Amino acid sequence: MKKNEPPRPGRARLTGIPRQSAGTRGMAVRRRDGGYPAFRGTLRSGGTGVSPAGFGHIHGDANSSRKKAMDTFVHLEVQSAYSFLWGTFDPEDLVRQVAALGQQAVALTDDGLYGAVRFYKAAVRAGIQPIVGARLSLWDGSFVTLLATDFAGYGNLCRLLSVAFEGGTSPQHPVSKQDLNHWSNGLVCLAGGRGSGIRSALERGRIDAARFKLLELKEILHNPEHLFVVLQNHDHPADPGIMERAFQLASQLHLPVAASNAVAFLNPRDYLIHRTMIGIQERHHHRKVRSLPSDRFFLASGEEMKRKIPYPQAIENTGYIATLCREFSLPVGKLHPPSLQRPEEASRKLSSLCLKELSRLHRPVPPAYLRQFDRETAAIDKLELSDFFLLVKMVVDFARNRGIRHSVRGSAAGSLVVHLLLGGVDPLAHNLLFERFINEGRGDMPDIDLDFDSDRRDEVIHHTMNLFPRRTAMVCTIHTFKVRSAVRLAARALGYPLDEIDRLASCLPWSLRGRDLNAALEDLPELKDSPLHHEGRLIEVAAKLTNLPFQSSVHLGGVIVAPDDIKSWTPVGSSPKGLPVGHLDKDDVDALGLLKLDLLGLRMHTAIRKALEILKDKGVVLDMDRMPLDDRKTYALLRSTESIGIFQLESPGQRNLLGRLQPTNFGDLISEISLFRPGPVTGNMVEVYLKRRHGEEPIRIPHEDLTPVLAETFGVFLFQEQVLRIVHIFAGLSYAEADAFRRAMTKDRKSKTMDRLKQQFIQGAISKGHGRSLAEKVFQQASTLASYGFCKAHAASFAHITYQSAYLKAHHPQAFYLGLLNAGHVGSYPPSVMLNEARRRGIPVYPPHINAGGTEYEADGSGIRAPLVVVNGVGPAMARRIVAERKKRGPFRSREEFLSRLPLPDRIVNVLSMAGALEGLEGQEWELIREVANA
Amino acid sequence: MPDDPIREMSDGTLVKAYNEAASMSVFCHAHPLTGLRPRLAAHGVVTAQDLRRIPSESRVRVTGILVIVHTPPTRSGRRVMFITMEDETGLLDVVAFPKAQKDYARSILTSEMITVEGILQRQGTDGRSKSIVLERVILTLTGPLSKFLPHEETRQRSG
Repeated sequence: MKKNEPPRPGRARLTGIPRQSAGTRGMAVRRRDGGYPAFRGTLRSGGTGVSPAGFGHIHGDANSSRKKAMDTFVHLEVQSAYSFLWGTFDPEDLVRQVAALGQQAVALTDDGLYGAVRFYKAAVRAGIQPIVGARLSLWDGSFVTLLATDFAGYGNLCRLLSVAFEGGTSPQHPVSKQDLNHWSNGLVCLAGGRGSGIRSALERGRIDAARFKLLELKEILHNPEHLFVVLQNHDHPADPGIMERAFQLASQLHLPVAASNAVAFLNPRDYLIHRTMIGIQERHHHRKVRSLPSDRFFLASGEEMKRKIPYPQAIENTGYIATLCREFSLPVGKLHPPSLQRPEEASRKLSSLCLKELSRLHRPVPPAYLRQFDRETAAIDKLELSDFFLLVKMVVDFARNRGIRHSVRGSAAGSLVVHLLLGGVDPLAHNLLFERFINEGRGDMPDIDLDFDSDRRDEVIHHTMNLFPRRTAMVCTIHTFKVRSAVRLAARALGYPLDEIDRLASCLPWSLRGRDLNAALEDLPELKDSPLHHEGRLIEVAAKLTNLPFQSSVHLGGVIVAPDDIKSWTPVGSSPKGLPVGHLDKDDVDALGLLKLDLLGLRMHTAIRKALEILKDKGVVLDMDRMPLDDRKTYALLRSTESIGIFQLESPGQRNLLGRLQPTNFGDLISEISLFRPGPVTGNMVEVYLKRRHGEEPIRIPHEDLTPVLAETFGVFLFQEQVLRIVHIFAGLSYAEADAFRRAMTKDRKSKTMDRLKQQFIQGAISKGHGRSLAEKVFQQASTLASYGFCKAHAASFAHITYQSAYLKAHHPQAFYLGLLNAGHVGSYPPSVMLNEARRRGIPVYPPHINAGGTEYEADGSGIRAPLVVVNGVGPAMARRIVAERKKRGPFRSREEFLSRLPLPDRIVNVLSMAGALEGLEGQEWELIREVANA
Repeated sequence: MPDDPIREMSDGTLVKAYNEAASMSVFCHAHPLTGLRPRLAAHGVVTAQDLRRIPSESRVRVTGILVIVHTPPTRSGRRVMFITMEDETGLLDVVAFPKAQKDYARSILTSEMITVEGILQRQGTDGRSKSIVLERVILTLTGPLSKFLPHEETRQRSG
């Protein structure tokens, strides 16, 4: 719409939105293409016609408008908990409350768009019109609220917010006039609200200054007719006067007005939570920020708003603005993959690469591999996914060329195409199933999750970003308050002293797994005598904070690859490492159908790489990815249960299971990893499996047709792939239907769905000649398995790394321990436990010393020398200084010489002395030891 | 020759362990329980290695440094604590069911080294999988042990 063009007739009709109308009901139904429609609800109670009410006195029929406003008021300035440590509620709670108030639409206008997708989905589900917007800081230090009228407007909002978030994950920069002018198309602008320069000028009676700012905005905005002057009243004595001045000024400038309550909490009683959040900002983050002045900034009813803001046009125009935003929708539920080349071209390229690798690995190529290859490429072609595979290959090729250890995890490991393109386990050798990964029934983007050496993962991410410039960003992660952090931070905000906070939080678990704080205080024996019992207000506040978001950060490895400009989809800020990071978390990315590559860091890859480097220095070169998987010494070690440091098998439960399962081959490792899961453990499947594995109980399989599926697990239902095969073989359903069955059993399990699936399964089984009772029995077992079974492809992929780490431990323990100790935090156990085990296995452990070792654990003959950084107070920088000095001018001969060459604080010298790091030097005395010995 | 060579030796090891505990995040010379073993043995405390030759269902007493306390979710909602401890001969796996947690959960969660008594469960080939079902926690942290512990927070508790 061009500047100064009046609102179009028809589009701007102000009516109500019936919650039960056909249009409303349609909101929760996906289109056939998987997308949600734009909001089509029709507003209920008539309206003022073709233009907004409230151009000063032009449409000022207060009496007639008042009745209509009762049903049509829309909150347009609402900040949820995604305005971190400001708003006090989740978007889902907002939607529920809006529905309870009988309001038909609501906006979410946080500082960013972190909560936008979940808000949109919740509102659509509830039949509420979602309006997505944001609060934006301007060049003059004031604020406006911008609302998207369509998806293009949403893109512009993302671009404007990207300016604000540049260089960080919180809004730090004001938007310039040029930016706003450039990207304000498709946006409604609400000016003059709390914190704005306009309101500030009006408050001080500087009408001319307020007029200037409004005229400036009107001039800058692409759609000046979408500029509204906000009227707010929070029951402060000055508010009525400011409202009147704003109204008069708007009239003079022919600008419409809109009522707003600048919502930060759903109910007045949550003002305490808001103040606590501000307290956390002040005392914990040391920010200068002021809380809202009263409890009036809540989600008021239309009736209440009408009382507070006696300007009917302002009330009425909130509905008008909602109508302006009616065309807005997020393309939720549709796929938006990037496209690099034409599908036919990509398909040809993919086939060529795979066949080349297949012929390299197998000469001659067994027919089974060719059949599997044809089956997979047919499915990939049908879903036009060749491009996607080639894209992932580009990423993996980079890692390969740089020697960065990597592996595929998840269901993708069940694909021969993935095996040929990206490496990993051979799916035919381990009886894996491609259809668990991709089948024609899946409407979402397939996931290929990749693990890389943690130390080098950033190289891969940077390369991926460079491959697709301006189309990529990291997925964000939203951190929510856990109960322990909620108690600690709330106590801090409420002014408790630090030692008291420690006492109050003692024994509180990090997470209560669904239990609320009050219940935990009652149930958990370690909290029986907790002083928290006497802190009612703190408990109330902490309980309300728990699970609310409080900050965003960068996902460990999720990279979004958008089909076009990433800023059309999300605002983009910057991680501490300088990577672009969006406002979409992993669920948002899935909802929008964007491609997400999970480029994860795996410390075990780092540990293995470091161990291999140590061995290489000793002349031992191992090709871990190609070695046979049948080494007897490796399995003997595993059977001994000495599995500390071995990938996936070091937990107490896994160590226990190792002793009972006594693995002798790679298949046992896959089972071991899959068995120790909540489902099999609580379903007593482990006992049955072990007895059958050791021949202590006969193997029972419900029907001979299922023997090929269940024989490998002795008749025990263990893998998700078995569900698919059973449904396919026994009931004759396609793999796509079988996978839908599996997913429904896993995620849905609504009785109606279950009944339908059961009928489908039983009918299929009967038509294959099976009896009803047998069909029901198999259905029961398959549906139970579906809820707990583990993905065999994922287990096989992990088992490969398990085997590699176990092989190193069995054959090269010194290198194995050194790799683990130098790879950062690997697994469950601290370095002290690893060193104790190394010592027990005959590997001497030497203390750090100023004349030996350095900043990492090092081989010292057949032993391990601890680094200087394990000494309390000696950080990497100090350790580097000591090592550099030693290398430069030779070993330290005496304590005095050491101190003269490196003047260190007495505290550090004493602690080095206690640690034995000065042992053997001239003049080194053992006073401390003697002191303790004589104590 | 010292009057009590075993005591002298164990105290020497303890002194080193104390120094290491007070100055580092790891033990390099020896596990701190090495020096205490003669006195622990006198109180009927066995080692992780000893458990390999003790019959299943025996009541045993072990001492260890707490490594991990894990409370995985269970379908029943009943909380089970899986406690991993370590002595100088290996890891010790202790399981605390709700009844034992009632009296000892706080001790387990706030201690760094504990002595526990419970029933040994051995499973699998040669009984290689070993765990102890907790009956009671006995924090015998007075006397020589407490003097050598790295932290001052030790306290005596009894079941």
